[in-house]
Amino acid sequence: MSGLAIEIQGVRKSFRKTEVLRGMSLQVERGQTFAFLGRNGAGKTTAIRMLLGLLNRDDGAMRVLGRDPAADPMAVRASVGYLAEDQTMYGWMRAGEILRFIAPFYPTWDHDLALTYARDFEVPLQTKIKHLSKGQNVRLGLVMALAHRPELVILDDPALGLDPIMRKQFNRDLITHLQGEGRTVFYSSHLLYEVEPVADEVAILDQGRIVRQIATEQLRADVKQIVLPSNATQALSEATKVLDRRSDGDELALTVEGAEQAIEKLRSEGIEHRVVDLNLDEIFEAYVMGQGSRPTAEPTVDNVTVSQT
Amino acid sequence: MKSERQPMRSVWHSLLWKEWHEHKWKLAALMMVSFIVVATHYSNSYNAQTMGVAVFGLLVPYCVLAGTFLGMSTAGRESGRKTLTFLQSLPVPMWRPGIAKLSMAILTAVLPVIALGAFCMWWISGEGMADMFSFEGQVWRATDWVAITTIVSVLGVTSLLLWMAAAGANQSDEIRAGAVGFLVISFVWLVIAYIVYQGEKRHLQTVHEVAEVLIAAAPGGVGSTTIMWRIQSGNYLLLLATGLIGHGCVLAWYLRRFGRVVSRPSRTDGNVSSIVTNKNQQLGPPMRSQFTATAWKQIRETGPLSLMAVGGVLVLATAFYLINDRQMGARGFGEVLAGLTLTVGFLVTLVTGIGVFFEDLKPGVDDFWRSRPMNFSLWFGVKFVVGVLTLVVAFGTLFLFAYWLTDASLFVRESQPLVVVGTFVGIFLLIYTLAMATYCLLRQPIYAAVLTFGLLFGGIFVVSWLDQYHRLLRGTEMHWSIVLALMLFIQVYATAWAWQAVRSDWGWKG
Repeated sequence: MSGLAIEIQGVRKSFRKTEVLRGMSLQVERGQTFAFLGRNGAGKTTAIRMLLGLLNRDDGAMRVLGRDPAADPMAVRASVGYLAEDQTMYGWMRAGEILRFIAPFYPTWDHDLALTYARDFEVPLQTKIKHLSKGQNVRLGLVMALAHRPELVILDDPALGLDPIMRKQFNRDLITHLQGEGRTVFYSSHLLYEVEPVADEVAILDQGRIVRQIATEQLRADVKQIVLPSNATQALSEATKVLDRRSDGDELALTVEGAEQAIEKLRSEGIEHRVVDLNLDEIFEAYVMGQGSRPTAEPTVDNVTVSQT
Repeated sequence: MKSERQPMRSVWHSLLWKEWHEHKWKLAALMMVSFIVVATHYSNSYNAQTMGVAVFGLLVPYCVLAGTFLGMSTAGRESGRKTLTFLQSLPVPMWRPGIAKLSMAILTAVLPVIALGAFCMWWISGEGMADMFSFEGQVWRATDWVAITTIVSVLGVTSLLLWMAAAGANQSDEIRAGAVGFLVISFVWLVIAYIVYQGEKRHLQTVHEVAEVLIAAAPGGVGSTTIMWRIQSGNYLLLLATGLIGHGCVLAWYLRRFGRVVSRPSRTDGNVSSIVTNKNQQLGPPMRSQFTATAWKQIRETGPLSLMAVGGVLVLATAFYLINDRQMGARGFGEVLAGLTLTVGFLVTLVTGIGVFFEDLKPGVDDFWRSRPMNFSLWFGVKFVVGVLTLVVAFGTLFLFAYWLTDASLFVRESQPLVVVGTFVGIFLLIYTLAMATYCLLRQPIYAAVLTFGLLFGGIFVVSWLDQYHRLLRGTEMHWSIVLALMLFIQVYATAWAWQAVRSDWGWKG
């Protein structure tokens, strides 16, 4: 069995004249919590719909738990737990009814587990879905995504619309719970500060391409802001990829990829500088909004090498 | 370019622009289908008699369908599309969007009637067919007949639409708005019928006359028709006043209700702790199979509509019986019931056909079930068959009840009663399938209804044209076989399209 839960190679998808995915590639190891990051409209939901076989790709290859979702969508859906962004369900059903209704569609459905989750997540089973709060709706969706014991759980910005406290709870409790069970979690979001504490690895999607895929800790170590005199930038120009550059009087703040080597070079040349650690939000901003030299269209081999955690 | 940079001139400009944008294709569709039907009939009508009957035959179902569906849409579309909260957030009182929506819906319903009336008048004058003809024992000049039918239809469709919109306002979607509207309209007729009945039973002429006057305010075209008939007897001012006041009240009822839906407050976790912290809550056993689950869901979706339809038919039959045929006893009631079962059955079958995938193809819900590992063919097949069976049980029961009331004398005058019943069943099945297929492809109830209506009537006229001019059907032994084969072909073709649309997620998502 392949060690990869998800494998995407050079996938392209267009809607009429708009190309949404332009040769996207990424790999997700089994057992990881993987954060799939991108701005609104970057193509995250399109990619997820293709992973479930809900959309066909124009080009490229895709495997989910070893299967091609375009060729065998039912088997993929049976082994994947999916919670859609702002998921809408049948409002007239009660929460308990929809769990009973959905059960026969999954060969591995565990009804006792569904009840356990419903109790743990505090889902009111006798309440009609149309009367559930946003948080209860998300939690009910999670029960349905988990009760068949899927090996892979795909969450498409599930916490969207929840209040900050609930979002924090969601990330801390649920993701941790799933990690504890050894499930692979593919978590799409555009709010980075939320995934930062839970994600083993991140991929940043921008304009239909993955611009960086790396372990979270490694990313924070690799991308830093270096503040140095404006006239000293020549020292960095050749060896370092600059993601963002901002001038502040006589100083220049450069957000760079490969910070360790860059800092080493500055030290060796005796150039005075300051190093600022960035959080994931700032790193993400540098990748997708940065004013520096853009990263290469196709990620480098190094970039897509999956880091062991 | 300049106009794109300019804001709209006023609130009314904005609201009417929005409504026009939402109604223009409905208007085009209604206009097109009506004219296709008339144009098809054009070649069959060669005298005033056939022409007059044709106009009447088109406008009566038109009024019922356009009034019902546009009324349903006015009442429930904003809620169904989740755009009501946006309208509520605008800094204008809700009666303004309400009146803009209603006005544009009425215009959409009325313009095709006026255009058709004008076209027929022009045609009759041009062809020199302005001779006399008789209808229901009265003799009419063809032009007068068309003019009066047009006016009555305009008033009738407006009245029905207004009642439907007012009664169904604030329901969660168009189908529910239609079901509630149908029940309210049936109830109104029952009340009026009861007053007529009491007036006659107690020989209270005044009560009887009051009830007749009240008909002017009742939903649909009958009130308007009464007005037109009463013009000749000089009572028109009273009827006109009753109609205006009655519909004015309904308008006020609609404006008072439209958009004033108070959504249940979203509970925060803290607030629901008393509900959700119950660790002992129970969960029933899972359903046994995909088949059972899908059938259960479909019964829950189609069943209430069928039950409402049965209730509505019984109420309407009682109303009609009390007004017209009560001297005939149980047999008369049975005949009225059978007639209404077939008439209302047409409309309910259309709505049920649209409703089979109505919930499933809503944005958001569509993704919910598609992302499950389900057998699409089973899902489609079970929903289709259970929808049909629900209708068969509901209307079959009504029909058998009527059959029993008439001592099994229904269709006794027909030489082949089973063929008559079979034809109705076949047509209903065809309507159901066409409505389902058109909804799966168009994903808009109104357009699906219009297209079903157009296809059905277009088909009937094509068959009649073949029959009349080309003698392809009449007088041959193959007559019924050819019609049956044609119906089966359309049935299979429409089912295949619907299946493909559901399976491959085809359909207009605009």
